[in-house]
Amino acid sequence: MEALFRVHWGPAHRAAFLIVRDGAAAEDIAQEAFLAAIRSLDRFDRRRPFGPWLHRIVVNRAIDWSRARALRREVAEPVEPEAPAERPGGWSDETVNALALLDTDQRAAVVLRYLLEYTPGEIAALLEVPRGTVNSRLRRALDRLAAELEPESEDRR
Amino acid sequence: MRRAEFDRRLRHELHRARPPRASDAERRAWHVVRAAHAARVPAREAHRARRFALAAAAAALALGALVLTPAGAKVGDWIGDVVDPPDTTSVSLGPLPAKGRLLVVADSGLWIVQDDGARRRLGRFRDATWSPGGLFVAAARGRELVALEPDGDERWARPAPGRVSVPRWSPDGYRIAYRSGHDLWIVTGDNDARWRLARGVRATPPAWKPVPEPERQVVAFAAGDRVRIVEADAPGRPLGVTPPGPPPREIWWTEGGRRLVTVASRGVRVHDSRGRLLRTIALPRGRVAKGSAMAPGGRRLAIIARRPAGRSSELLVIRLDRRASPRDLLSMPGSFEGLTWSIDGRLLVLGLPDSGQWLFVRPRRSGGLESVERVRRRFAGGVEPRTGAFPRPAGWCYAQPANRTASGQPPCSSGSAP
Repeated sequence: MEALFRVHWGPAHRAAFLIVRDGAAAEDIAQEAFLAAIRSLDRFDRRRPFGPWLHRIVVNRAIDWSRARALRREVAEPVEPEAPAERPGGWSDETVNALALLDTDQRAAVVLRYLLEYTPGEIAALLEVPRGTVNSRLRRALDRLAAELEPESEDRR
Repeated sequence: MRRAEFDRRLRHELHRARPPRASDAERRAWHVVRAAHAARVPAREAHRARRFALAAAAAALALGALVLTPAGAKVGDWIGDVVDPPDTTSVSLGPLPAKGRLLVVADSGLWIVQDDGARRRLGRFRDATWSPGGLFVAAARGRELVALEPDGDERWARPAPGRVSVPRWSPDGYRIAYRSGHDLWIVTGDNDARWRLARGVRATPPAWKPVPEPERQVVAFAAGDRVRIVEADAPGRPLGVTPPGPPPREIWWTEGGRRLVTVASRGVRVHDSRGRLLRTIALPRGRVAKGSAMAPGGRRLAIIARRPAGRSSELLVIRLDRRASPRDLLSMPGSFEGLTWSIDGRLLVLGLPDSGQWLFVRPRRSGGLESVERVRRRFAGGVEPRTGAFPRPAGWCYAQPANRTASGQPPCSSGSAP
């Protein structure tokens, strides 16, 4: 169990954080996903890889959380000040900020594609949406990110 | 930048991003996940256990002659335990002298007791509270806060960084305050979100101000030698603070949230809604408060007091709307535990661990006293346990889920702190 946890915790936690952009919530989501996975271990087909199964739980919960937050009157101060991540240079800061400008579905698609390394077909299966929807979310997201991160570049296509 | 180069860089940046305090989060998560995994009984093992039980039953039948002899009786008991563990719901409690449902925290777990004496075990929880309308129960299980339906179904479970205790549901039903480690947290009633309200709070249960909707929800909690009053959704904006004083065991609000009442070991302090001290009510000389409960309606405060030198306890009632001294309602040898008001305010229930009883006391009728006997034994499946905490009434609620009252006063009561 420990080996499974050590391998999968980091990407799951990071994916949740990049989607929800809230340290405490990301920790909760990743933790709850692991607990949900443990509860369902007996039903899990052990011939299939564990990662996609866990990632599906994490990403869907993160999407649900972000949507709920958008709907909720939330005046609470962020209780855990977001400590700056390790950003030694380049556009890391800007990347995280630019991701925040995307809508939740686009953010989830980017995280699944570029952090968790799924193909658009696999993302479509994970999110239970048509492949074309994934492609259009990715295209719009990348256009927006490129405009934010490389505003002067005219040769990004 | 070309698209391929942009993709590569984006991939690199996302892999480099680290959530705040990632290693602390990983350590906490591993602790929770490991505990959950250890507590899990895999289906295959459960199946094996059932097979073992059947084999044991067959063996018990084969050994029938042995079991029937006096020398074999102990073996028979043992086999009986393996095949059919004691059913803790089979020992009747008998009807209670008041309507409604009692929430009881026992060593054997968390229970709901109906007024006809029927009981349901909700699981192994340590501390619990009713939702204001009695639709749900919030309960603490190690490092988890769990919302349950009264039939025992888990609605959700929220992992916490530290041990969870003293959950309390807000009067509007949309928030639960609870302590995790040394911090006070708020979680939305549907487990949508949580936030830390304060760090370094005492183990005293938080007290929600009974305000009608849609007013903002306000909670008071003990930190250091003061009680702080804060809007639950805006931790950065304190609404009031009491002057320094003895650490309170319990915090209560009077009717409509007009007064904040703190109960410390030697006396009671009454403050206005902003925390300004209005008066102090001393307990009778030599008495030490061991628990308290505010009556529904918020006018009468019941206190369990103990004489430090003696071996007796007293049940006192203070009228907070009058400048009256505490009235001694009951005095008995031994200790009292788990004080709770009935929802109509006509009865108080308290536990007497030394005699294994629950006492139901009618504060307005002298001599109005009823008891339920052998409580410890009844919650342990008919076996008298030698050790363990006494089953403690932790809250009382309507028999059927109820609407909130117009004043915002929660219809279900909370008992004294553990």
